[in-house]
Amino acid sequence: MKNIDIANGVIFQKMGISKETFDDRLICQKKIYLLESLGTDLGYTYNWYVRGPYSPSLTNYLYNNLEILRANDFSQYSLSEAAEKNVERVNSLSEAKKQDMSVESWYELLASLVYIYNNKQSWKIDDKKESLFDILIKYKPQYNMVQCQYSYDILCNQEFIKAGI
Amino acid sequence: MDERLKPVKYINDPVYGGISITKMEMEIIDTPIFQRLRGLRQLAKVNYVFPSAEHSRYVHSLGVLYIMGLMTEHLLKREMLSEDDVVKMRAAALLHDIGHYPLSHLGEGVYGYCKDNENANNIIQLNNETEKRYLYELASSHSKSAHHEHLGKYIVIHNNDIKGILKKYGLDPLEIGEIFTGERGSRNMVYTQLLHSSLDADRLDYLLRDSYQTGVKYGLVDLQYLVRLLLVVEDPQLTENNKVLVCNKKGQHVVEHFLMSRYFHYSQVIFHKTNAAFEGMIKSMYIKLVQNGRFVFNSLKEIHIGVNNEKFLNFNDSFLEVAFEKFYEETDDDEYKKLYEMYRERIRPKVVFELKDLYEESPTSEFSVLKWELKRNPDKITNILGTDRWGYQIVPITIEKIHSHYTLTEGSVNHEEELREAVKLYDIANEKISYLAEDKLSVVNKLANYKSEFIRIYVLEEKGKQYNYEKMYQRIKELITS
Repeated sequence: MKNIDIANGVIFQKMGISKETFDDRLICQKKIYLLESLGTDLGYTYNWYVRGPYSPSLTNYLYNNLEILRANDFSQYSLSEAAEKNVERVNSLSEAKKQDMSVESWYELLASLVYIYNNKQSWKIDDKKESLFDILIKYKPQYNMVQCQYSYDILCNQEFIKAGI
Repeated sequence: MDERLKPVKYINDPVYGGISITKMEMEIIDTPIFQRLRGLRQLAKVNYVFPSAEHSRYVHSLGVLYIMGLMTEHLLKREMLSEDDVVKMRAAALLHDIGHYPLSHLGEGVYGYCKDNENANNIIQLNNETEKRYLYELASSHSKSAHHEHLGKYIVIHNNDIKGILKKYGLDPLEIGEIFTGERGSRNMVYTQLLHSSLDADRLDYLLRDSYQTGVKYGLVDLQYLVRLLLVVEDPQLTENNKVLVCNKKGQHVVEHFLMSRYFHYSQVIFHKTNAAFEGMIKSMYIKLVQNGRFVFNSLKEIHIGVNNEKFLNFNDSFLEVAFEKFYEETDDDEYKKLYEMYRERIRPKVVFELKDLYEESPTSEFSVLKWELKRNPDKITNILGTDRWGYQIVPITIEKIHSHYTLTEGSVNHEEELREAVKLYDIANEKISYLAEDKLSVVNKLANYKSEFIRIYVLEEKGKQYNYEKMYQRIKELITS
């Protein structure tokens, strides 16, 4: 097994990744995006689609390898300190989810905010958080300002978004 | 007419006759970094099997520009695109392969493999860093983490010549890069579809050009008619910027023909078994070269640093050949030496086992078992073959760009991402958009749910050693049927 498969295997296991339903795959996409945004690079590149950041190569990888990774015992491997911390930060976001939102919508909102924030130049927005929220709601009208503000505060608090906009 | 769209030159082309070029495009073509593409073979080592497949990424890029020109001119006449859109899309088409590696996708896999290892070392605490990496791992690696389009975007943003020309003509280098990487996605579906879908300018050119150059006759597609079918309409399922590229339903048979042609092109040319085995062998050699720091650039990071250096112009197939030979003369790595000798003497690896499957739900148990064993227990295969000098290839080929595990019965609602590259049809009378693959009367519908997949195992022979291929075949057969 290649080293990168081991890295994927350990991370998928710790993040409870599955691919059975569309929602499972959506959550996986967003969790891995958030993880990569913290600097734990698994090599997946992301585009913007209807449900936010999406990596075609991650979908391919999941379909081709998840069963085999699941069957493997990775107990002899441990994550580096930085990767371990980042995985915990992504996982802990689920605890902050409010009841009015499903898990997949929650991760979609968080990952989309981080994606737009990380690509401000491409979206041609300034540094104000209001600009970030406006763009998000323009492309995702199902979310509102209160939800954006709440998510934004958590993302800043957990340092997914570093500089306060 | 926008000055930026006035043709200033025509370039002869064997596939299309002539390609018109604007002033800005001519300036881009004349840059040394674009001229580098002359030194990258479009199909890497396919010329070992189809000897005339010698065409370069340079002519392919011009071809994509030609087809993008046809598509955008047609849509401009119908007022479905603006002149500014046309200028941008032509620039993106011309530059879409600017980040390709020596030996094209093969090189991309090499740098991807190296980057993956670097990433893995940062993520997990490996106890086995010095562990031997077997040939089957090197030969069968297939990573996209150093994707040429992303390197291309980096070049467009950071290379002084290219970014300077784009800016001079009022274009944003970042936007051009994001168009050809597909990152714009649903923010501008039309842009994305023109360069990133089943029916895009890139795929159309490589089918026509590769077919012409290899002499394989699958590429007889009615290009002019196909382009005339294109329309831009509003998709009510999208929120912001809801325009999408569709094909007039009345001509869907032409699209079906194109998709079928591409299927045969992949199965007969790109994944030709001899070519695939050769490429596995070369990939192993290429990885060793790069990991020993013996090529022009030996990591993606080094490539990034070098995009404004003259050295970058040496990042091509010829310099790779020289580096292969030089490393052969200087290295103590016996395995590398053996690989190079096979390469130099064109000794092709022997395909000892091949399994094909065409399935709707799940593959045959034999197919699943072999796939599992190859990925999970390669030692078993080494034991059966009696050598660790082997490689394998697992290739899924689909008719339509629908993920090979996605089934149409799941329905398309909420699956926009997974169907993003599929061909959309438009019924003008009913003003209705649908996926070609969902049309029950379409041959693509019948085949889209089927997955064609094959596995090949090949052995890299050593001089003077005897191999019992019949025995190897029988033992693998026993493994997967037991």
